[in-house]
Amino acid sequence: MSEEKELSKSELRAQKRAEKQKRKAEEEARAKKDAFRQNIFTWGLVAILGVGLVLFVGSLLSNNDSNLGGVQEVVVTDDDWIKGNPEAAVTLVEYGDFMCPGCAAAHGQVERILADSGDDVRFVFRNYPILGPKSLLAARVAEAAGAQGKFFEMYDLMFQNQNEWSRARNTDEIFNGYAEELGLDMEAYEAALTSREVADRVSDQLAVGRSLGVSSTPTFFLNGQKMTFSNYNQFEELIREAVEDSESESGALEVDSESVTE
Amino acid sequence: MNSLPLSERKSSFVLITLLFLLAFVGFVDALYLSVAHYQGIVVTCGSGGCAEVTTSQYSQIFGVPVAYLGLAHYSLMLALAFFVFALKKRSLILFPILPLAIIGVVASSWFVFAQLVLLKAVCYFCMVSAVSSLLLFTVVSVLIWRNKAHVKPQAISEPEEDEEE
Repeated sequence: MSEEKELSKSELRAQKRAEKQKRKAEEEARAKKDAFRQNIFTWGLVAILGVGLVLFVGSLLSNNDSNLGGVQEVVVTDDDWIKGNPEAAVTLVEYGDFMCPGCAAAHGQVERILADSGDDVRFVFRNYPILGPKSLLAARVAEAAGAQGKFFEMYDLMFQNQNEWSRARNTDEIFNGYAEELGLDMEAYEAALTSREVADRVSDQLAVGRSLGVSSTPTFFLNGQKMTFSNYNQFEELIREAVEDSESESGALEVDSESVTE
Repeated sequence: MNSLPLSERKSSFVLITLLFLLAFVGFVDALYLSVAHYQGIVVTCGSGGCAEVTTSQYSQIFGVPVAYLGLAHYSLMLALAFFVFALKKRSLILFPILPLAIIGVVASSWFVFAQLVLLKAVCYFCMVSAVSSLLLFTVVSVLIWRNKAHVKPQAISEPEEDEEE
């Protein structure tokens, strides 16, 4: 009786051991399988992300090429701020930042050329605020003034007084002063200044400029072509040539006494 | 690694996958901002203030563009996350991913503060970076907290194995 018990006990123990071993083996097999699955997942994910990264970098670099090429045409739309004869044959587009000193210098030149050329040139100014919060604010202020038909009036004030507001701490107060000086409806002006519409207009201009390959200010486009010049005599010369070309093309045989002998 | 209980190993794997994905997102984001900066492109984003933020005075630290610093940070993070995720070097989580993640969170906090309070303009790309560094820090903390008992002895033994190899 006791022997039987002993036997069954040792049998039981052996059985238990066998079961334990089996379970352990199963567990190990499962762990191996899991590890294998994890490896496939891991390297699959790495491969997919790697390919995605390569494509992403490729598209970034190809974007750059098209920007540098500047192949896109500048199209003047109803949304643009236009100075001078809107029907003029020659179009000068400036991408400028109210805070940039070079743009303030260009402002005087542009004014003079516009005054000289009469109805021959239409001038378009687009905001390209890249010099920080103040330049962005200035662009929005001009747009807000533009909503009340005073864009170029504000544009003149901005450039003429650039030194004053660009160094000041109370820039927004100075801008409010300009708005009052121009006789704007202040309530509407302040509402426009913080409106989504004005913010969008400025960021749209930035985006279009970027797609045109504008990377510095001021950047000028003459009849859709990006201008390169080393001084303002050359700048003026290029514009005068464009005006003359347009006149000979359209067959307008008006005798021009001005500017030929200069 | 096999010393880890099965259940913990699985959940850790999910967390480590997350770690890798977050590092990747941050890296791509920083890469985009850096390339744009290098090309002189002004980053814009719909109604957000991307142009304003990325050209602000806070976009540089001692003359070094923050975009480049972000790229360096996330490159390192992605490399370490790759080692942990693909090559199973879990000891790297404690050192040096944790300090790196802490630096990321501290820097991000400052930039978020600069955007919301100082500039009052929000750049989505910068926010993506801030959120991913916060999540990275969270994931790393959870991993360390959960696997403390298991990772610590490994941290001591693993470098030795490496040297032998």
